[in-house]
Amino acid sequence: MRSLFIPLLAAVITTLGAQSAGAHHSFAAEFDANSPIEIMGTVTKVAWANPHTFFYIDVTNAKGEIENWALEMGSPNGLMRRGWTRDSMKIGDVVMVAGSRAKDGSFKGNARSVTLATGEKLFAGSSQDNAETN
Amino acid sequence: MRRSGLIGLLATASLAAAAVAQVGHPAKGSWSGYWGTSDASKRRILLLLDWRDRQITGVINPGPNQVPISKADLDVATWTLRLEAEMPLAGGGKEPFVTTGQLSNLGSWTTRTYSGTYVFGEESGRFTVTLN
Repeated sequence: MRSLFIPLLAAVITTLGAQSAGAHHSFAAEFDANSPIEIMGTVTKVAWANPHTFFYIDVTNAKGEIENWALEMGSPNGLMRRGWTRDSMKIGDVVMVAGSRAKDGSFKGNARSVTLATGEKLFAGSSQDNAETN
Repeated sequence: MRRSGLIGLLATASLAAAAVAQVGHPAKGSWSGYWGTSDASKRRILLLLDWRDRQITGVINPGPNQVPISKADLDVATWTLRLEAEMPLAGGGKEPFVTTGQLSNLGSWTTRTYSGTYVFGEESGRFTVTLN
């Protein structure tokens, strides 16, 4: 009976570890530093989560169609250190985002900075910054 | 002793997984989609709904020009949700805006929808929004 406990424990730890490891990646694995984006839109969702905070904005393209962009930032702790609070960006706010687009061309990007509805510009804890300083 | 500790660890892990799965009321969250009389005339809509004091509250198109939802009724037997608001008209004034539709795919994070029909003054059509 005892012999079952250790494999079981290992399985639980591996499963929990794999959940966060799967969400974490380097900047270059997903985003293209040569595809800069500067987009403005209305916030539709903010998801404070580790290892990356995500927010989503509705952007109107040149044809007048709405594109819902998913934008990745740093961890909640990293953002707090850069001056963010949980109330900095709310659903319905119009924000300007500068960053890099995903390599697969989807409506996904890595945000380097976000200019809020108040005019305040905050850095987004981009993994690109970490990659450049490492 | 070691065995009881392990059981405790497993129980904690199970509870933690269950806690992550708690998402609150099925209507709660931000929903986005379109409404209009046809595909050619569809308009974007963003609903921000909350569940407070055992009532659904919220706003349409949150932001500087947001419209508060004045009344929300949910029939949990059929998951039919009816929302009412006083929507401003482009030329000034307001008209009642009423949506009646069903919440579908309640177990899904990504495909939960609220769709049905709306009446906006003299105009009527269909709407569909998906949970963001």
